[in-house]
Amino acid sequence: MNTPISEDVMIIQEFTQECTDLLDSLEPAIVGFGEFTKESAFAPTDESMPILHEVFRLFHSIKGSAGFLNFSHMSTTAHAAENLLDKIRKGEKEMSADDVDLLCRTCDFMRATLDQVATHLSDGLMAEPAAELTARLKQNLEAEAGPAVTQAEAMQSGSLDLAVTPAMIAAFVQEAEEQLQEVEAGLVTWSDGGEKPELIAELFRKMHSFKGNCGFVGLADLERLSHRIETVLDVVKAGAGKPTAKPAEALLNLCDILKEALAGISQGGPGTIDGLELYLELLEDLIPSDWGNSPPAPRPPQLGEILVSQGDVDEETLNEALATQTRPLGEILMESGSVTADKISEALDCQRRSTGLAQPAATTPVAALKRQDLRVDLEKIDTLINLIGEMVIAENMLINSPDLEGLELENFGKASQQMSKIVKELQEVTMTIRMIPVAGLFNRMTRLVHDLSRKSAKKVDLLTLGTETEVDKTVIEKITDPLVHLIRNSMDHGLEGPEERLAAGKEATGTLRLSASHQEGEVLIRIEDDGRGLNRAKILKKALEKGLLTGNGDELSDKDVAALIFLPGFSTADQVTDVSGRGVGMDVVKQNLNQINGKIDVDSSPGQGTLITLRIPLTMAIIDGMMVKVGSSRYIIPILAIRESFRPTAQSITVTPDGREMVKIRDRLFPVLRLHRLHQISAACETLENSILILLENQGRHVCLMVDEIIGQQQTVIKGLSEYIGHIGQVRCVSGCTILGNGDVCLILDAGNLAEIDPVAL
Amino acid sequence: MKILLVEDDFISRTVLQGIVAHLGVCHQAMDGKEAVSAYRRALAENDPYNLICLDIMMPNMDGQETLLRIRALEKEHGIGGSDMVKVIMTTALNDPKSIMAAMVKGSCDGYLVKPIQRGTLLAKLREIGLISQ
Repeated sequence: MNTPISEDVMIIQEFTQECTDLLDSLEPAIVGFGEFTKESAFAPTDESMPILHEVFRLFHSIKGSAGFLNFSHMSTTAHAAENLLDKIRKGEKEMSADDVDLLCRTCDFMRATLDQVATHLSDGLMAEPAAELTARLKQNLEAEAGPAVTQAEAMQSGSLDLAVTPAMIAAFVQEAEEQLQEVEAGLVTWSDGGEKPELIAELFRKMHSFKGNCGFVGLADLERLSHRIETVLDVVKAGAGKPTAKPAEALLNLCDILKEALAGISQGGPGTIDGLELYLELLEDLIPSDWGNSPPAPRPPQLGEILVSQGDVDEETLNEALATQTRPLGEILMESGSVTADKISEALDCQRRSTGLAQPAATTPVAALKRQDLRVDLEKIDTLINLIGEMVIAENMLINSPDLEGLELENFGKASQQMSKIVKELQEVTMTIRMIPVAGLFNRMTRLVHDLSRKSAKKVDLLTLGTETEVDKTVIEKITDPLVHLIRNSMDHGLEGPEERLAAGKEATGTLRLSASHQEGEVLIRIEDDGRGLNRAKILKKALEKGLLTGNGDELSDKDVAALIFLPGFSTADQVTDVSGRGVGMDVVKQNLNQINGKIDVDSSPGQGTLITLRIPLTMAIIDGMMVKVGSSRYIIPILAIRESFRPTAQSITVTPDGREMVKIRDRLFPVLRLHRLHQISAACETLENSILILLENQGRHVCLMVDEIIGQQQTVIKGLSEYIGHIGQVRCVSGCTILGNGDVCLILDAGNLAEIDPVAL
Repeated sequence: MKILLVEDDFISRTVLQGIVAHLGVCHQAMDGKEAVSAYRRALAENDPYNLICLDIMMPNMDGQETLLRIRALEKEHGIGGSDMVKVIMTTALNDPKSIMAAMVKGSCDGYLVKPIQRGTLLAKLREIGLISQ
């Protein structure tokens, strides 16, 4: 491992890329462990084991490859994380919330180091955090083997060494009641609407955390019963046959019993369950006898099922017997005379046989989906896209060549049409190369929400939708920061704490919905919370205080008020928290979005939540444009901004006393902006009636642009304007330029700025 | 200790065999295909290998593919963490790229450049904790 190959940049790039991919895919899994460990320490189960293995392998791989490349800090840290995970995996230590946090931090460290490595080709600067993290990992590795045992002992003896305060009990009862409520709702859906894997899995998870809670506060009876219920759910979840009697009903009854016990606890009772053994036995019948030995094995048929299939009992009798079942099924059926002892023992034999047979049919290998990916340097793709852009221009130059003017060239026309078609397709395909799904970005947000909810003690469910939506890579890079800011804002200002939510009649857990979708050449990213919504009065007050607004703001629409939060230096949070409140966030959001021609919309209803929509153009390199002419200058207007174009009649034009020209379209008045005045050029016609008006819309604002004539629609390759022109501000409302077929430069107008200009001030 | 040597070249295989023979049972495979089936058999017998020395360049199935298949087999059988078999890749050329791939994708435990020296191999085994100091 001593070969110094640091000059081999390619390898290091590959290393950082691979490791980042691994981290991206496994971080959600690590965060997922956080869910298990929320209430109490957690020992890996059969279903979490493969994930644990994957995470272990991640750190193992990083350890090996970092060692190979002589990134010793990375390697030692990965090694420490690996050791910790191995101990948990072997069951020598339970996973605590602290461990999960530490693993998350290790992931963060890995990312930071990978960044370092990518730029400096060395991880030398990370020595300090590496040492700290390694020390903490080691500390967790050694220290907690002890406490985990004492905790387990405390649970067994029922004596609470861990000080469980009355406040904790109260909190537990409250949460447990909510959990049971949810379980109950799920069970009802189950018994009404039939078995759905997601539903069962959800129930299983809820029961699991309920059980964890009970164990934590030392309620042995509740824990035992809920554990048994969990096992039953696991049986159903694993698809180990569908018990003839619907377990849902039985479980619902047991929920009631759990609830009663909880009610007893809140009144100071001991939390014991009378007749616990009976309930446990009752549930035992729902669990295959070999359950736990080989979980994935098919469940042997229930006694009842065998009897039915042998035609000894009909299903109705059986269900009746099962519904009242408190003793072995056979006895009940014999007693009610519906079946003889012989038949029962025959069926029992049959059951035993199939139990024996069920063993070998385990483990069915699942063929992993193979991805057919090719990793290409982004620079190459950018070059390709640039070249395609040039080609579009060249194609325009060729087809619109002045030499061809006035010639009737039938064959050339055909050929050029064919070529245009291919060029267009080529362009579309190249654009899709740069597209990547937003899943990775959203995954990162899962982590953010997890951290924030821990920090702020607010409970939040994050739902991500449309993760397969593909977006330009640059767009993803540009919206990462805004998204972080917006989510922070939603968590800090939007969502309320559990008490406030309950007081407002909402569920204690808030919902944050993150979704992506395509719509008409735009990507929509929505961040929706069901929090308290924007506070109009508070925003206005703050805006006045900070001098961001003149007048009292009463005339502003809700949308305008919402737009105020994006002004620089605006923050309504009364105090700056760790999470947000410095008033820079929203400003950054707006700036970043402007850079990619994105728009932002805020819809908010007080007490019900806020919906923030980011609208981002699908691609930033080529747009569909409408070419117009003013005097001798040509301009491109993005097609997406155009609502309509028309020649105004004299009657539709109104001039206000302060010289504002307005045009009436279908009983609505729109301001007119003379492009020639804006850019101080001479137009061919100065009268509105002889010119053409183009109605533009941007974020609900409209303006009618006055131009001389419309030349036509064309694909436009955007070229940036030089800093000089852009900054001096000689050219207003221009977002870029393009090169025309004849080599002329043509400016692309920015509809957003146009709509904000006051025509009178020109 | 149960060892599997995967190597298509007779001389290299014999040299390896000479170095590790005294450490325990030592099986040989001529290529990746044989190695995977040997590994599968060992799993079925519930007597998995502790160490695999795997050549990268081999006919039929190369070392990289073999490693991935072995890891997939382990996953199928729920073997993970430190129970995963220790794999040392052996390579004729010091090709960092393929070593990197084996490290990252196949979580191998180390690599050695041929010709294999007794000292380096034993040092590596000590490093990954297969033989005591």
